[in-house]
Amino acid sequence: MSEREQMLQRIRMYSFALIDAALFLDGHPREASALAFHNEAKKLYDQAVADYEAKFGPLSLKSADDTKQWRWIEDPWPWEGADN
Amino acid sequence: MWGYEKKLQYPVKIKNPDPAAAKLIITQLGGPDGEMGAATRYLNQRYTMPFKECKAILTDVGTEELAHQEMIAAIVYQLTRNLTPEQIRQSGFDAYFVDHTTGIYPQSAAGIPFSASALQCKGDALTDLFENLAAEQKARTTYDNLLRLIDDPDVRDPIKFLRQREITHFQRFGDALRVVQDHLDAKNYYAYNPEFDIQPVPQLRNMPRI
Repeated sequence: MSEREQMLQRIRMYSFALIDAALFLDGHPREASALAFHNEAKKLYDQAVADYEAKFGPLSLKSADDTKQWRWIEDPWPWEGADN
Repeated sequence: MWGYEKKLQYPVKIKNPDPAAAKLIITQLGGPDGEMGAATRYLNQRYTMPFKECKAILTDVGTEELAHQEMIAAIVYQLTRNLTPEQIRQSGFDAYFVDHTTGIYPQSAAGIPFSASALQCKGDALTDLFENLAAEQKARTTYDNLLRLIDDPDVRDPIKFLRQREITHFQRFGDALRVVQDHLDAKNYYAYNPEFDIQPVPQLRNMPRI
């Protein structure tokens, strides 16, 4: 597994935790343990995204801040099976 | 509005083409119980949904379904790369091929194009949530059926992930149903439609407002 793929996998893992916690919290908005779980996962997610983007460019359009070349268009795109 | 994250929700890395499998799996993009129908159903139902928890659940599950469309499309795309004319003929992919080449067209396994006639936005909170609970189970059954027919672990792995999400979404729509029922008259859940009737029926007027 490439370094890029390893870093993406970390993001996917924390992102999954965030999505799953959010869906639960939508229906149980005062559940303290779920709120704590969500916020712990968010810290890990934010760090993993920052680490990835510093090295491989923007994961979402709003974090693009290139000065020489617009890296958003770079391959591979997620469906291409290389490092998705 | 929405933003795009340049990653799949769960990885799809398929080494070997299998156009016969692609022809079946595409039903979870554009078929009657597919991810496109799921996203369309939830993201359109939410506008008239009255309770904050339910608006959030419809928005967030609907958004996840968009990511599932992308995963199914990625599976179909990767299963149909680098095909020879011989593979196309022998696999039964030929009918799809003449209409769409290897483009990703939302249709059912039987070739019927995506249709909103397989989904409903009824404008009634209970009705729509029961529709959604059923939709998640129908999608789960479809994934079960695909898993009976597909052997390649590269393909089974993301399909197992998607199957599990149908079960989770079923549970979350169960949460939404509980929220709606908590707002209604427990003696008669059908006394009025909370998405349409501004005043509850007369005997409920003195109860706390929604």
